[in-house]
Parts: sequence; structure tokens; C-alpha cells
Amino acid sequence: MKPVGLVKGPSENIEFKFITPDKVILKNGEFVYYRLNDTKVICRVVKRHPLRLYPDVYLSKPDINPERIVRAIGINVTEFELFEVRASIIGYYDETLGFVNPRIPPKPGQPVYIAEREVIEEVLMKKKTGELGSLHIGYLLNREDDVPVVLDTALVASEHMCILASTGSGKSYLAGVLVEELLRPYNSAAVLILDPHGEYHTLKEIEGREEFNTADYRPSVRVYGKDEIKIRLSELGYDELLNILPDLTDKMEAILNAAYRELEGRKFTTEDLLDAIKSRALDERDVTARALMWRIKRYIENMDIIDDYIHLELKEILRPGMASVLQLSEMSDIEQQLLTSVIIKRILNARINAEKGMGGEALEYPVFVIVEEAHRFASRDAKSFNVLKTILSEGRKFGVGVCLISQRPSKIDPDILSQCMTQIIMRIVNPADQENIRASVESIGKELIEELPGLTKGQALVAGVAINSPVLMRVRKRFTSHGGTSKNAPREWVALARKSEEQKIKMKANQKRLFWE
Amino acid sequence: MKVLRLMSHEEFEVEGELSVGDVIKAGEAFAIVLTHYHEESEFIRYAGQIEREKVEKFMPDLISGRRVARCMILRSDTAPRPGDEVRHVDDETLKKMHYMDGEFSMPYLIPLMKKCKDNLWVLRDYIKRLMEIVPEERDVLEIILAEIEYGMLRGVEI
Repeated sequence: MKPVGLVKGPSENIEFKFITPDKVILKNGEFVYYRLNDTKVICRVVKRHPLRLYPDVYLSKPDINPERIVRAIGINVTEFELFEVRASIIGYYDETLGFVNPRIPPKPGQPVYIAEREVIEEVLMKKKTGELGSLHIGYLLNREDDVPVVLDTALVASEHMCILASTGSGKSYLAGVLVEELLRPYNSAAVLILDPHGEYHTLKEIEGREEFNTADYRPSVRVYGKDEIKIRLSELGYDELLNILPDLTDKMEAILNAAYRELEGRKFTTEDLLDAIKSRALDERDVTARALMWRIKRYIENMDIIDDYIHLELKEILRPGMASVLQLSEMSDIEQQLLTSVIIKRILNARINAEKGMGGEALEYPVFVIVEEAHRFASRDAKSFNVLKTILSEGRKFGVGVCLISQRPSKIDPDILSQCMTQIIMRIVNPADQENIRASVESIGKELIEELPGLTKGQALVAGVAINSPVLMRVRKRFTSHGGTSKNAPREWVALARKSEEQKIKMKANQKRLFWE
Repeated sequence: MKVLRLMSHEEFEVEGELSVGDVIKAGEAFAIVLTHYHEESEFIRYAGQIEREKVEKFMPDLISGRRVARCMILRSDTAPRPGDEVRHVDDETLKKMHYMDGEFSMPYLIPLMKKCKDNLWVLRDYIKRLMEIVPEERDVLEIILAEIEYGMLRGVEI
């Protein structure tokens, strides 16, 4: 292997500088190594800058290549172009300890090599493509050849993950890739997707694709519309009930609490709740009780997702080798938050019941929940905040993994975000969001954060426990079509304008006829 | 005009009527005249006032000394030798001298700029001449000229 540069000397902290004439290979984020007693010490290229600059006047005429001037005055252009590259030492890889920093920077003059594909696959990825429990989500961004970026499903599913990106950066596309991988035979996961925009229905195409099938495995995808998604009233916690009913006085709360405690543990209906409140009224004209009952009728009976009897069975929506998409697009914000809160709480309880051998609803297998537009559900003022916080801190022990997807990470509570131990971050320009990521995600250094605004659609920074070192990647192509593509407004306007013009002409032709014709 | 003496691997002196900025060929070497000066006769330096007047009457050439031009070699495989014939270089030859393997090249420019740093106008006039005889490289030469003229400005800090 030919070296790509020679070490100039140490830099700050765990960095060193090397000099290279390379113009093409050594991009920011690329992996290189130097040898220390026959061990390959892996380093990441942090920054590169040219050592020799053209005098400004050589750049004064845009149509003249400064190389021409340099050649004219008898200077060899290839010798002229030299770059100083700053590299950060990641360390050598030890199977038990992970990356170990040797604490010995390379000597000046020592050769630096580009990390070969095999080295990257061996050292940076915890899993290989197609291996049991692997998630092949893309390819290394800096490499022309396809070096796969593979995450460890077990760590993603137990220690949670987040996908953070500005709108239009391809986060839903990536989430689609993630679901595809989770449903491949080597994962066969039980996945639930909370889909506020109705853009995951295209995952249904998985059922007809050969890539996902084996002789004894065929994954399925079910899409639930608003009419099929119901929560039984009796499944709501007291706090959730309080959240639905606005402007309750202390007295109303006291009556509701007493009525709820009386019915708690039973499968009660709205009528049962109203009866329980009525029984606590002082008399027929008790204004407080009547106002509370009015609110229950007004807000709970009118809420489509709350039902007295029908209920989404967890085992119906969560099975290994199956993804369920709950389309929340036609629901109000409060309905969405309520549903998220109730479903996630039930999943956690069902997992606890299964793990501890307790009675009640149980799920005997780990599950993975994808929450789109997570800032709506994971901000401090969201009704689902407490449940999400609990599941993110305790879900790991019981096999409930969560993937939060958001375009406004600054609106997600930092305590929640910091529990997502694998992070996929795509293009983010907003400084507040960048700052929030910097504060919540320890594993990403300053230099990598600086890369975020420069990423283009489909490019991402992957970091955290599911991969040995942060890498820049391009998302792989999906097997299924993408349901969340942006609308081409001018094309639709033009088409509609032509159509309405044709209709006008037809109408005029009709109007020309006499009324008795 | 003949080569008088060789000063170094890149400089030599010529006896004769040459102007600063002239491009000449001496032997196989192309060179540019950077400066000239008057050299007194060796004989006169040691003669007394009376002898000098006597000699001047019979051999006025010996007294007047000679005009010497100092030249810098622009391109050559071999340095000229004292006594080599010196002649002016015409535009066509000068143009040809700047093309190597079909590519315009003036590798002497950087050492020439160093030599001329106190009288950059020599270089400026030379580049202007090149612009006229090699119009196809005018755009590149204009940039080089701009840098030379800026260097002249920096030198005097007006």
C-alpha cells in the first residue's frame, strides 16, 4: 500500500498534521492510519488546507487558469500543490476494549496510509452487511467505491436512536431504509411507526419484494387509518384524562379523581364515568358535577380515537416480522399526543409484564417504535412527554427501542435527546438546532458538527453506540418507493390551470346552446 | 560587439553600444541587458596628468575608455565565452525562444525579478514588448505585468 502523506508533527490534543500532494482522496471525514508496532492506528481527517496559495493577482481574471501562469513562469504545477491535513487519532481497535488511543502520536516523517475498505469494515462497523442483527443503511460518503455503513440492530433497538435533520433532507427516506432493514430476514423486527404525515404507507410494497422473503419468512406491513385507531377510555391514565378536559377547577378535579379511582382497573365506559360522577354530586343541581359531566361529553365523547369498547390490540400491531403504520394525519394535535402516550405506555407495561411474568397484557418480544415529528411528542409541554421520557430511560431494560425523528431538535427536551444513544444527523442549518445537538450528543466533535450545514440531501452523520466511530454517509437506495416526496407546486398549478381553462371553454360551448335544446 | 567577461553562470558583460532592456544573443545564450556603465582605460588609471594629455593627442580612443553592458542570461545550455560575437535578437527569434514543447514559458522570470527589484521598469518594458510580439499570451502577460507594476508601487509607497 502506498502512503498518501508524511507526518509533519503533532497538533493539539489527539491530533497530528501530515503533508500530502493528494487532491482527490483525502476529504474531510476520510479515514487514514499510521503504523505503531505493526498495529494500524486509525485516524480521521479533520481539516485540510493548501499550503501554497496563488498570489491574489493570479486569480484576477476568472477565465485564466492560474496554473497557466504558474507554468509560464517555469514552476511545476504538481509540485506546487501541497496540502496540510489535520487528522484526529481514533485509536487502534481491540475487540474487547473497542478503540484504544495509543497516546503516542506518529513521528515526523512517518508515512500515513488511506484506510482500506477491509480495515473500515472491520474496525469502524460493529456488524457486516447481511449478518444477523445488522442494519445496512448507506455507504461511506467519502468513498467512490461502496463501503457499507452498517449499524448494530441490537444496540439501536435497545438504546434508542434519533434522526435529526432540516425539512427536505431525507429523514423520512432514511427512516424508510431503516424499516426495510428491520424487516429483512436477518432482523425480522416488530416495528410500530407513528406517522403524523401519512408518508410511510409505501412500505406496504415490502410485502411483494423478493429481497425480504425467504423460504420460511415473509414480512408484512399494515397501515392503520384514523378509523381503525381506537383507544379504550379505560386505558387512559388519570393525568391523560385531565389533559383532555380543559379548565377544570380544583373541585371538579377532586370529583373526577374520586370517580376515576372508583373505576380504575375495570374496563369502564363513558357512561360508567358519568354515573360515577353523578353519584358524587351533592344533588341534581350540583353545578360542579354538571360542568364536569358537560366537559366529558363535549371533549371525550367527541374525540374520535377514544372508544368505550374498541381497542387496538398490541399483539395485532406488534409482531416479529411486521411493521404497523399508524397514520395520525387526520387527527388533532391532542389526539396524536394522547395516542402516542397511551400506546407507548401500554407497550412498556406489556413488556414489563412479559419480562417479569406478571399478569395482564404482555408482549413476549422486543419492539421498536418510530416516532415521526418527535418534537410534537417529546417537547416538555407535550402530553406524551412524561411517557416518552420514561420509556427512553427505562425501555432499554425491557426491550422497547424508540427512534425519534425530528426537524426541530431544539424543541425536543435535551433529557430525552441525550437518551438516544445512536444519532443520525442530516443537514441542519439552524444554529439553535446545531447547538442543541452539540449539547446533547457527546460523541460528535466540533469539526463534525461543522460539517452539518454542508451536507446535501441523503447525506448524514452517523454516531453513537451502534457504530464504532462517527462516520459521514450517503443513505442507500430504498427498495420501496418514498411516500414523502416534496410536491412540485408549479407543475400541479400549470396542470390544474389548463384543466380549469378547458372546463371554462366547455361551459361556454354549453351556454351557447339555447335553453330548449 | 563582443563578450567582454563572464561574471557568473548567469551574468556576463559586453562591450558595445547597448541599451538597458535590449535582448541579445551571445554564442548560444539569450540575455537581457540590465545595466551599463563606463569603464576607464587601464593605462590611464596609472598614467600621470601630463602623460594623459600626451597620449590623448595621439590615441584619443585609449583615453576615452569603453561602454560596458551587464547582461543576464535568459536561456542557454552553455554560457558565452569572452570574445563571442553579440547581436540583437529580433522579435521572431524572441518569440520562438519562449516556446518549449509548444507551451509558452519564461522560467527566467523569477531570477530576473530578483535581479531587477530596484529597477522593475526594465522588466515592465520587457513584458510590454513581449505582449506585442506574443499576443496569444497577452492575458497571462497582463497578469504578470500587473504584479510587476504593483511591486513598483510597493517599492516607493506613494
